[in-house]
Amino acid sequence: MKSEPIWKAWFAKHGAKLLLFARQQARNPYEAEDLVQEAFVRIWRLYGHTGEVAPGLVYRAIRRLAIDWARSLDRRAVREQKAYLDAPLSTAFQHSLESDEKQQALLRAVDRLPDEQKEVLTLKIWGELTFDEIAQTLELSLNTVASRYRYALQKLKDWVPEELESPSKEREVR
Amino acid sequence: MNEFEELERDLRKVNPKTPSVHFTSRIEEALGDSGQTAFRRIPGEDASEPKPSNLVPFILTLSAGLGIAAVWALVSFLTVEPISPANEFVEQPAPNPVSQMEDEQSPIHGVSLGELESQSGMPVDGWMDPQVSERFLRRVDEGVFERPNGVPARRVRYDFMDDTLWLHPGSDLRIRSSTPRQEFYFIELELY
Repeated sequence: MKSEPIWKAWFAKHGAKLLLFARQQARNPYEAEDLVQEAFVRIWRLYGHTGEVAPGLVYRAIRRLAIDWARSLDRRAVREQKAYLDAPLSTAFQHSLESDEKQQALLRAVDRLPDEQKEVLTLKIWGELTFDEIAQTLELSLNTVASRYRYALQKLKDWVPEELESPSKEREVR
Repeated sequence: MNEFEELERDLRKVNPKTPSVHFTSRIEEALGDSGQTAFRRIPGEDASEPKPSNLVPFILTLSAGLGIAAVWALVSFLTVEPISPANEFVEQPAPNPVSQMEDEQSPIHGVSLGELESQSGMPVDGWMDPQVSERFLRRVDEGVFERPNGVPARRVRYDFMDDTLWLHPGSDLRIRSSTPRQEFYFIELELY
C-alpha cells in the first residue's frame, strides 16, 4: 500500500474546473491561479483534515475572494501595471489536433456569451453543481440562475451553426 | 427529452485544461502541514506487496464444501429412520416466560435474580448499588455537511463507553457491563 495526501486526489478531480471558474472571476489566467490557490488553501485548512470538502465551498470562496480583490485598490494597481490581456475563456480548454471543427465552433460560441451566462454555464456543465448550489455560489435566485442557463444554451444552439459557417474571428476581420 | 441535451453532451466533451505541475507544487507549498493531515491508501501500487490470489481461497472453499456435503450424506444414510405418524407432531415445550422478562434487580440482562441464584450460585442479597461511570474514548470530526439552509456545518462525533459495575463485598464478586454510546454535535460554519 502507498499513501498519498487526500488533497492531491481532490485537486486532481476538481482543480481544472475551479481554474475554469476562476478564469471568469479574474482578469487574467495568473490572477485565476492566485484565486484558486488562496481559496483552496483557505478552505482546505479549515476542513481538509476531514478528507471531505464540498466543491461548492471552494467555488463560493473563489467568488468572494474575487470580489474582495476587485475592491482592493492596491491589487488593481498591480494588475494594471502588469497589463495582461484578458484571454478568452476558450483558451482555458484542452485543445488537441483531434478536437473537431464543431467543438471549436462551440467554444467560440461560448466566448461570445455574456459573462453572467458564461459563469452559470461553467458551474453547471463543468463544475457539475446543481442550480441550488450555483444560486448560493453566485448569490442569485434560483430562477435567475435557471433562466441564465437556458438563455446561454439557446444562444449556443443558435450560434454554433453560424460559427461553423463563418467563424467569429473571420467575421471580425471582414 | 430536453431540447438542449445534445448540446450539453457536446459541451461536457470539452475538458478544461488541467492545472500545471508548477501550480500544483505551489499549492502544496502553500498548504504546508495542512496538506498532510489526511491521507488515503492506494492499493496495488507497491510492487513489494504480494497480491492475494483469488484461486487459492476458491479451491479451499470448494474442497471444504464438498467434504462437508459428503459427511452429511453418509451420516444421513446410516442414521435414517422412518418417521412414525404419531411422532410427527411433537409439542415443543414453551419457553419459560420468566426468563424472557427483565428483572431490574438483576445485574445480568435477561436473567432474573432467582435464576441467577439457582443456576450460578451467585448471591442474591448483599449487592452494593451499581457504580456507573462514563469513559470518553475519542472525538472524531466527520467532516462538513451542507445543510438545507445553505450554511455548512461540521459534524463532530464523540464516542463514550458507559460502564456499570456491580459489587458483592461478601463474596468479592464483581460484574462489569460496558455499553458504547455516541453523541453527535453540529457546529455551524461560516466561510470567513
